[in-house]
Amino acid sequence: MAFLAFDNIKVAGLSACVPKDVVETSSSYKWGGGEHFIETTGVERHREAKEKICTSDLCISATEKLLQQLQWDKNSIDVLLFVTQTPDYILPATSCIIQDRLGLSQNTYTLDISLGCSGWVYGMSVLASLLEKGCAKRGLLLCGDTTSKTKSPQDKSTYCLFGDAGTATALEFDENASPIYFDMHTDGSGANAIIIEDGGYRNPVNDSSFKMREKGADVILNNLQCYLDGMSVFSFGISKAPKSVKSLLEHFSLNKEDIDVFTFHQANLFMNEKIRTKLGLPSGKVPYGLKDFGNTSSASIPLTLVVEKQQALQAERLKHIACGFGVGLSWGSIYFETDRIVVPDLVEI
Amino acid sequence: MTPETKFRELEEWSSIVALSVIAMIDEEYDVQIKGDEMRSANTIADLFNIVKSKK
Repeated sequence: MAFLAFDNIKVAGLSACVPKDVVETSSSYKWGGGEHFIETTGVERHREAKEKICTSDLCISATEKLLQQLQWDKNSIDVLLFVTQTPDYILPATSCIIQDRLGLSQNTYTLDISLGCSGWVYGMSVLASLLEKGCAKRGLLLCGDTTSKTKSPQDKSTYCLFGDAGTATALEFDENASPIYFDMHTDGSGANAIIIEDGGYRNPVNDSSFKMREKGADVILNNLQCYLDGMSVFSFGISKAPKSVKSLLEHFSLNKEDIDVFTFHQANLFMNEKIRTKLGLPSGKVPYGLKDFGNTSSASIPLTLVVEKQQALQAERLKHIACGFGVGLSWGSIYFETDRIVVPDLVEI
Repeated sequence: MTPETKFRELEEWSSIVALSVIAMIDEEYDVQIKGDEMRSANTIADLFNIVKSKK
């Protein structure tokens, strides 16, 4: 079991950015039963990035606003992590490009991390470990995806479910900070449950990559688009997410009742409600951002906190648990505290 | 309903009911059913055997 604990890490701020373009489920779900889809998934609308907007653009806009409100000098940033599965290029790493575009110092440690729904939790563990000793003092965790670019318009299982977003989380070395705890897991035997089969080096792009294939009723996509085995992912999520949260609470002797906010990866309402009720959590402690933004991959936890908890994050001291689970299969939970942190209004570009 | 009942032919059957069955199996037996396993099952006995094989 990968339990991790870090001291001296303060969460200083959170921000999020979404594309301006809104896609309503009611007008774009073309398979009939749109109302039923909304009822089950909880997704009434989502944001889609136009062709020229990349995940990096969303994350950079979120970061600029956050740095401005934190009043952090760009030269004071030591670490920049970028968690995404929709990078600008296959190479170079997008985090290198972001260092330059943000105008960060050439002394910045940068790293791309390829994870989706579990990505924010994993990213937090990497950044916390890099900052814990205080050699590097300030770090940025950028998480997001433009999943709309990987969806098939002929796939009813994904088309109205996923949305695009980019986020930024600022961490700082602070000897007075409360500890951060993690419980992390991986099961690569489920790699096929969420997969884009072609375009990497196992199956390089070839003529047949573009061929539309019927993988199920109204599930038609090509091998450069994202396939989602909804049943496998559902089964995985409702089993593993509650277990991970429970083991985090138990291992670190945390009291469930003391936690103010439980933020889960926003998969879909049916799955998330199963997870919430299995853990016996009151709905008031479990924010949802699905209705307006859908499933936004690694952005979902910070985005939900920004849009649903902005005022509380700014004004109160809060104890959090968050849990990310999905593509990989990869999952993990984090315990952290926030004490009146900087949370700018949602940015739109 | 018998072990031989072909549940996909029931009027009430839908993709959400399929997820509910997966959730019930998770809660009752702590068994995680994969999508392929669910898709390969046609009768209630098939489901029973899948759960049994994974216990």
